[in-house]
Amino acid sequence: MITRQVKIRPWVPSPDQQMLLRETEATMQWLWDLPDALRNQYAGQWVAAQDCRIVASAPTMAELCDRLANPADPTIIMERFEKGVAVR
Amino acid sequence: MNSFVKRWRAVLPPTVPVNPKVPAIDVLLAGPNRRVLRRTFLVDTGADVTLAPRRLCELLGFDWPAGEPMRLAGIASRPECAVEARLFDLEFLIPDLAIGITVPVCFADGDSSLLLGREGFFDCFRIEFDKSRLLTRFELLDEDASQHEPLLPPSTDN
Repeated sequence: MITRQVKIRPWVPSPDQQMLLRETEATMQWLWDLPDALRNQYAGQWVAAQDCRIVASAPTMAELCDRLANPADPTIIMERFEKGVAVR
Repeated sequence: MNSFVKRWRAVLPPTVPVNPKVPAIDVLLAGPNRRVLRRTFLVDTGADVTLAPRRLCELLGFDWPAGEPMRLAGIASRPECAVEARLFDLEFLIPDLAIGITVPVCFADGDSSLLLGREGFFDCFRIEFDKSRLLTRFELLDEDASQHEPLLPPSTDN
């Protein structure tokens, strides 16, 4: 397959991007260390998180988006929690 | 600064008989509609190419049918297990180094995990996995590309 020319460039975030990073940082860290009980509850599910809480969940990303009023809201972080041990 | 360290992320339920944490990286994705979404990708050395579901492709503003067609095969060799996909170049913005990298991404027709595969991203970094400390170190190979201070504080487990 393609080995394409990889383009790397310096990135100066726009004010909107800086705000997005600030607004989502706590939720991102919370998801990375989600407590065992919640990881167990959402095993095999996609979750949408905002302001350090789960606002929706579903088995697929498509179904998760269908359950959200605005799935393109950049302050919503979507993550998938695996159901069990995976070999890809 | 041309490197950063990421803690591994817990993605498995606590009941599995393996460590629930895996190598991961959080990035911003910049689509053609200029919408930016923050997502976490699992760093997967076994994946030939970066993988994401079709719905993410659409959220970012790509026209999925217009992408380069691909057929993805997993560890199951049966033809019926192959998945249709479309390939697009997607910009990954890396807050830890204040750089953007254009990576080919396969958007699968259906659901999939977000997997950061070898093609593209791995060409730009020397990546070291330290399972004993549950850390991944990313060292940018093109030092000239990173001329800015990081936008996020370094991982607390450095």
